[in-house]
Amino acid sequence: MINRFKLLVTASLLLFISLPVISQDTEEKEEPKPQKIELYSLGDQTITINAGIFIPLFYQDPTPDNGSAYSSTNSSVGGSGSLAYDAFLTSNIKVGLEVGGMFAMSINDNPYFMFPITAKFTYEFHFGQFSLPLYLGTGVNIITYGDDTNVQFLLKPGVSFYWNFNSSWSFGANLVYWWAPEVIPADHSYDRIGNFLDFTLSAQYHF
Amino acid sequence: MKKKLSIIFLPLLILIITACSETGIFYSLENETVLVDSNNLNNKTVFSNMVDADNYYIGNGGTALKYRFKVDDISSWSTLATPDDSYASDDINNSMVMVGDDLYISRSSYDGSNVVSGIYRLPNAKTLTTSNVTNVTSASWQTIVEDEVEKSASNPYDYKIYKLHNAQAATLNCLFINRLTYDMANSYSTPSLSNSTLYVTDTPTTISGNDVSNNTTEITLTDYFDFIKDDEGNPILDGSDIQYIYVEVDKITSGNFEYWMIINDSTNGRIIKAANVADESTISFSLSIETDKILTDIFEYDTDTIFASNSEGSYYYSINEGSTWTESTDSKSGVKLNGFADIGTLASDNIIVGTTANTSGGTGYYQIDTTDPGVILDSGTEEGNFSEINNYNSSDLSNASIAGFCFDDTNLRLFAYTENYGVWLNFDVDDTATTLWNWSQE
Repeated sequence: MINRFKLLVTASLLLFISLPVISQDTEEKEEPKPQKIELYSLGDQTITINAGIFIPLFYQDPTPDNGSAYSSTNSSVGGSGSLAYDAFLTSNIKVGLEVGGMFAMSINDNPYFMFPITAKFTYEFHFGQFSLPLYLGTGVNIITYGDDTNVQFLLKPGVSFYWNFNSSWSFGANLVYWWAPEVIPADHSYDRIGNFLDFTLSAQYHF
Repeated sequence: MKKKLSIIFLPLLILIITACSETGIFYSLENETVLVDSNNLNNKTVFSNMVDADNYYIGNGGTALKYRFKVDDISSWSTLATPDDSYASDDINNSMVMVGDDLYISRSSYDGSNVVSGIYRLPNAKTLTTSNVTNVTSASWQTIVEDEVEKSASNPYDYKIYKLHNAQAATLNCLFINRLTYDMANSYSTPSLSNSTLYVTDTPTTISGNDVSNNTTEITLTDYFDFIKDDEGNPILDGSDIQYIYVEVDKITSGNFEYWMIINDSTNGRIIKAANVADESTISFSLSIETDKILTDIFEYDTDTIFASNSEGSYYYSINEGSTWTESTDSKSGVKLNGFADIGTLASDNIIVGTTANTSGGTGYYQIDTTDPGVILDSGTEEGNFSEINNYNSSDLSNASIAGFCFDDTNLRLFAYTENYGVWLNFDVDDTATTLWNWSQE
């Protein structure tokens, strides 16, 4: 009788002692899922510098009288560069401002220039160490050729590809399309829509 | 924040409102045509003047005379032999005129010890052809007058430079010779004018004795020196104690019934009108107007209408044969106007005037509609330029300092010779019945 009692007490004690261990095992098996850490968040900013080539594609006449509405730009391949500031709203969405310039040569080797100032909206995909921003810039384009200057509206959709070197620096390339209408109120037969492409290399600083 | 935004956007708004060309830049680029360098002149060739010599054109390139025959549009420029024997290697043609069939030039050179200057004639220059032009040599030129002044170690000495003008009025085709005597007291590079005399002759072949005053008529220039005054406002005619009392005749041009001459001092200009032009020996000049600007050129458009350009980007015009003058309502800042051409066969009732640098660079040429003579048209627009606008605007000519024009209105070729961008030719490049005037560089 006493032996049974002792056995019961001992078993109870053993059971009592092992209860935390049993529950710990259960807890170990039910650990919560690890949280995803976003690459960027609200307040993160970047400054980007771009430089590369500028490719005049074609002009479009929005009101052609006869014949084709598309014509050669009569221009050489030129150069392009810009400086951009962006701020992240979320890990994937950022807004910013870009100021740039380009030059190319006319058929008689006379230079002409464009200086776009655009606001940018970007959606950025992240793939490990790489980023793929898609963006649309909209703003004004200051066009100069000789003594003439025009200020017009501009749209610049583009795509980039970046390698995130470290937490501060990324390097990559951009491909941007310029949709640049030029409207002449005095005589709309002079209206043209310029279509251009620029391909630039890029260095981006994160802070 | 609002203030910061307005600082950014207000200048941009101003730029948008004010910066708008009347023609599209993309349109201009799209329609720009290749500028042709159509001939063999160096793109920096400078002509001080050009003459249409019936069979050919001749340009005074300073150190050389260049000619080009009219046989076709692509005949090349060649160099005409000049009287070089007496001259040092830095000789220069100071002026060139055609009087009748003969070509006259004045030359000078300085070799460090001697100044040589003179006037020479090439007889029958107007009748030269492609077959006999190569026969012209230095010896073909006849010497009218030649001076050689040797530098003295102890005394200053005078040397002469001749400026030639040609003007035709009524039946007289006259050679005007302005003999300028310089006192080289200090150095060749800083001479002072010590005498200026003007001679005229309609028979320059009779000048003899190595002296331009022989068989010519002297125009008394001292009559026009009264604008040089002493401290009391009295005109000075005999200013032995005054550094400058003589003036250089800047331009003499043909009129239908008279000649026109301009003379400047350091700040003012005078337009002088000739009278009694039927006989060379009785020609006399009278003051038409004194202006408060330096005059650069004078041009008689028709019997009543005369234009006189100035160094401050405007001009004076008269529609009553010089009785009264009016200053243009428009002016072009930073440039001098000079060099006129009547382009009525290219653009009815229009003339053009060139620009040269003043406080800023030259700006090509401007067109004036003589039916509204006070207005300068905008040569950067189709309405203000007889020539194709994209071709003109994309060329260096639109930014050039133009020394003058030579218009062959028989073959419809217009030359513009510049001080910085060579010589340009305008002609119709369209082979059809329509015309398309284009500039190309010679």
